Amino acid sequence: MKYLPPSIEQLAARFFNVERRSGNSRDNSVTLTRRRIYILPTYYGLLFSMLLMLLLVGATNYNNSLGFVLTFLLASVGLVSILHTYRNLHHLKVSAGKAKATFCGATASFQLLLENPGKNRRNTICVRFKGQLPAAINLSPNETTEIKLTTPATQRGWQPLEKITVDTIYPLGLFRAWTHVSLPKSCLVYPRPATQALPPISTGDGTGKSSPQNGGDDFIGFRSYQPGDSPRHVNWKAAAHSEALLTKRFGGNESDEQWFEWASLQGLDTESRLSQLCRWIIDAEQRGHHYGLRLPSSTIQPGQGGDHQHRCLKLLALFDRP
Amino acid sequence: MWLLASLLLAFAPHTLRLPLAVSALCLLFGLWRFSIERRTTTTLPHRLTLTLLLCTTLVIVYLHYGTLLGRDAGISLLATMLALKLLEMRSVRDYIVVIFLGYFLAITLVLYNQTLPMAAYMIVVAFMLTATLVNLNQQPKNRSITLNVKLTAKLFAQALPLMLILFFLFPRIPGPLWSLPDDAHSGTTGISESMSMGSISNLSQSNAIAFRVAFDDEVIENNLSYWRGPVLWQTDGKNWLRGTSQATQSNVSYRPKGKPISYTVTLEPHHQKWLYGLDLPATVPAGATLNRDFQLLTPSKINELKRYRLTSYSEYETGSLTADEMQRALQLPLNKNHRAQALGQQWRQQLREPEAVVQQALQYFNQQPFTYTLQPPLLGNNPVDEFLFNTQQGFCEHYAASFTVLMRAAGIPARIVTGYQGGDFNPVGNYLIVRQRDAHAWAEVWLSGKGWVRIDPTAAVAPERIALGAETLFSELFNRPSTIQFNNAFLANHWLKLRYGWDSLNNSWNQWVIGYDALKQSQLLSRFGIDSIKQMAIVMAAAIISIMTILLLLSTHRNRKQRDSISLAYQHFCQKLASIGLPRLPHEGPVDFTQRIIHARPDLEPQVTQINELYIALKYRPRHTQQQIKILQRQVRQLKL
Repeated sequence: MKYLPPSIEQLAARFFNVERRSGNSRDNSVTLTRRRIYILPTYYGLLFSMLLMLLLVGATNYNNSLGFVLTFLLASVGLVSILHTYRNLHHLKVSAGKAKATFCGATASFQLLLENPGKNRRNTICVRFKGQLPAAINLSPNETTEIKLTTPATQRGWQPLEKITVDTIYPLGLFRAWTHVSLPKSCLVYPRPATQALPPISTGDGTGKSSPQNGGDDFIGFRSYQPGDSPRHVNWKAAAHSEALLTKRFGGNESDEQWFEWASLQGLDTESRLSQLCRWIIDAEQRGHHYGLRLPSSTIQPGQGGDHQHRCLKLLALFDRP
Repeated sequence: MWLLASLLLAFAPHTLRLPLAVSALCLLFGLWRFSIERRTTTTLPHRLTLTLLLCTTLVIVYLHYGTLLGRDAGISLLATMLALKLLEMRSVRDYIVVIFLGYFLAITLVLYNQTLPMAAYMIVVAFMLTATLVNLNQQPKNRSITLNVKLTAKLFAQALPLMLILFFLFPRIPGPLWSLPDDAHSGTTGISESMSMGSISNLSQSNAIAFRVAFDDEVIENNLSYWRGPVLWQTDGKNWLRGTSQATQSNVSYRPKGKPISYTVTLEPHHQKWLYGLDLPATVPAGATLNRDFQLLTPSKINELKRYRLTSYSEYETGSLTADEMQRALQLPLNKNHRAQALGQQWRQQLREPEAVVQQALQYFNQQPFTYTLQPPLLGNNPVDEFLFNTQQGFCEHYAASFTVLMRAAGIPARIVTGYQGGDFNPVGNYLIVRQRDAHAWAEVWLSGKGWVRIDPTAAVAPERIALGAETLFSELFNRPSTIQFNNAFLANHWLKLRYGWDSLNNSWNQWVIGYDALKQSQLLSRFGIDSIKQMAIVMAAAIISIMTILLLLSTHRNRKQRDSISLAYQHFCQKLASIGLPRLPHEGPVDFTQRIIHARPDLEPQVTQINELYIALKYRPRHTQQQIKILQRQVRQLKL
């Protein structure tokens, strides 16, 4: 399926001032109404109207009534198809679902729910971020479908859901109805984990032990790949056989409780420090250690588990961010 | 697959018209593509091959037509281009271009044939092409033929009222916009400006309709139903032409006798510059002129259906002849048809009186073993002699021509009139149908004191031809289902009714669809007070907008969330609570909401709990009664805050 190159759309956007009017919803869902849906002919629509002109001239020239019948029939079908294109989007409900936290450098994926509240079937609706290739979906009456839109996560912190384009050229491809939807949804982006883990200068609670992360020479097994793992530790041989990447784990001496401290990473800029802390946290979690985090602004008491990791990483993600 | 099928359908009627090579090539290309679709051949031809093929077809078309322009050559080109495009169809874009070209091919169909069945055929082609277009705009995995056909049917059904509005209200410009290529109207039959022996009998095989006539009063009797066309004066002994007249158009008059007959003619396009009128027309339709031969002439060819009103008198007395006319009416080639000329002269010497000579000639036709036949033998260089004395088998033009030759030889001014005679009356539509097979030729002699008198020598040979019409006479010759001899009178009767009904439908079709042109449009619309193109455009736009709005409302109201009475009652309940500062939050289910209300307003507990329980029961349990819904509604109504 080929889509309208942007120029017509951009012109139209300028003309109708779409940017200004495109709906921002405080709610997490948007129902597409008359005010939001724009409709213009596609290039094929323009070609079709040229065809109609030619047919009209031909029919007039030969004074051929059936020629007029065909011309007007096709013109009417074209006109009616506008309604079908419009109806295909009309009253469609788009709502934002979950957005799983991700690491900077990976992809942020947003879950979107498309609900067809009416009794009409909807066909070939494309939902995408601007400039992306469309994924088309069909909706039966009263059906709700979930789709995932992905975009690169480029900066730590809250990454807002970009403007989404919902469009359709159904049924004849002569007209394109579209709308831009902005939903107040954000995806949490953790800092980019450092590829190489420095030996953490962690202050244990009295034991004083420090443990180098992955620093031991003993191979202790595999775990699934996580962003930030050193490529040298990836089990490439296994990767050739299966889709999942495995990282080799090397273990050294274990410690029960560690503190990862901002203050211990002297001489690095903020982002590098956060990356390093992020790496440590991931690795510690992977090994099942108890760890705590100490930043200039706040402190998290040692703990373990998914939630604990998330709290720590979130603190890092939002460090110095509103 | 669908695309190929619809294109084949669009192309099929053209196959016999186009040069054989072009048709064969197109079908070959189609077959090629078909095998690609079927995976028997996988590769599309190389670009170079395509270019070569294109050049070949261009050469073929050029050699056949001597041009690349014009209707026939244009259609050949369109068809071959389309067929070639099939071979390089790869992307969706190519498919769409092919579909658009297919629409073009569909319109070329009706350049040749504008009948009702062809209209239906064309719409089927357009329908299939549109269904293909719908299919293309679906994701491959969701392509369902039934759904797409249904959708296309819906599109067409909704488009119908819009089409009618456009058809009747779209301001028509009288065409042509530029002069049409010569071949625009070839291949149509009808009476021409000249006559040779055998030219009219060819027409007699044709069932095509020449024109239809609706009489204001009663239908004219068959033996008076002579429809006047070209009048032929000049002959070389074999062919008859109109010749050149030196008379001015001014002095055209005759003394009518008897009752005037008023009627309306709907003339099928015959691509000649004249109209047909009942012998003799007294009035002249707008734009036409009546010449001294009492023939109605038009300034341009009749290339579209024409409708006009006329008044005629079947009894009349024309005036005297000019010297020029006298000379033209007696002209005979000296070196041909000697025996016929001798016979004419002999009669004149014996009988003296012109009337007696006329009678003698008619008797001669009647008493000699002349037969009236559709398949007369071929005649040589002296056709009148051969016909009169040897073969004695002929069609109306043989009799008219020989009679005229005999009269001229006898010194009686005579000429041939061609046109139509008879026709069948359609009781369903209450009009007369005149077909090509009713084409006829008769003679006129000029007698002093009477003027031109119509003499139909065919009537002397086969009086039933004049009295009953050509169809009855030749029914055994026409191998058509319409004249199958029914043993069962009841069936035959119904068959006849059906035929008349069908023709009646065709007549309306011609009146309202084919004949609907700029003139008719302005006539029709001025009846509704729409006089200018501007008004037409406004009314059209208004009608289209209103229909689109209605369709929009009809099609989108099903899109809204359907709220049943249960939800409505609950919504009412929520509104009531919102008014006292307890709005239901978006994420709150009914149970949570109830608990929050009870927490905030303990006094409402019994009622709210009841409403909550009822609502949940009604909403989520499969079976409930109307009674329960009523209770819920009442409780909500009675809730006092």
